[in-house]
Amino acid sequence: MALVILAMSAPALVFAENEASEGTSESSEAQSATTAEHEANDNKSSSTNSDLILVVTIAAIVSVVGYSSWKVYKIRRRAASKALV
Amino acid sequence: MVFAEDGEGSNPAVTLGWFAIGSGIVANLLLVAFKIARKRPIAKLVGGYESTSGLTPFYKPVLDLHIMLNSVGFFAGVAHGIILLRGLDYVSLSLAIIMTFSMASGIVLKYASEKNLKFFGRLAHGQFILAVLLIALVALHVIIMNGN
Repeated sequence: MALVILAMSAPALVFAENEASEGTSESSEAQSATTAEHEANDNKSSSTNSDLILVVTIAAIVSVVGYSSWKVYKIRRRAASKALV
Repeated sequence: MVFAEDGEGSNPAVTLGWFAIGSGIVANLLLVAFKIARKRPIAKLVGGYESTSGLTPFYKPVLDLHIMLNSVGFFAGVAHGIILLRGLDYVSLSLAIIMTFSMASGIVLKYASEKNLKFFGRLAHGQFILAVLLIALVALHVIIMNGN
């Protein structure tokens, strides 16, 4: 359930970052330095979010494989115990 | 980074991407709508209800269409990714992983002869979380690439 909520909120997070990263241009050197610093921070947080998305994806696949394997094992065990009876 | 705005191969690549998304939407909505329609009794035009057992003969054609369209969409997506490989990011990579897993689990479900493997394929292929993740990643990928 947590994975589903995280997956659904990921587009909103990235969209908000894209909107935040679109800024207006400034003329002075101090302002452009500040802008460069902000862009670096935006890139860094965008990269962190992208890493998170990949981690969530891999975690979802691993959990699906694990859950499916467990279900198959449970049914095999139940069938085996019925066969013994 | 290379995005689909420059030079040769960019327009076919973008077209392939949209084609993959379109065929995936049609293929999956079709099967979902069919399964929902089959589970619910439909209202007769003159009132009352009738059984949807009449839909059963259509299951195989709908399933075959689902498989065909998704396969075509998958390979279109792979071609799109290969052409634009230099622009690969984590979201595109995640999307490729999810699509490959869905395709592989579908193949296992369809062609596995061993009962346990088939059951595993059915469980893995039908997980709701994977569908939600796939939709979210496609939306994210389109938003990011349009933004760039």
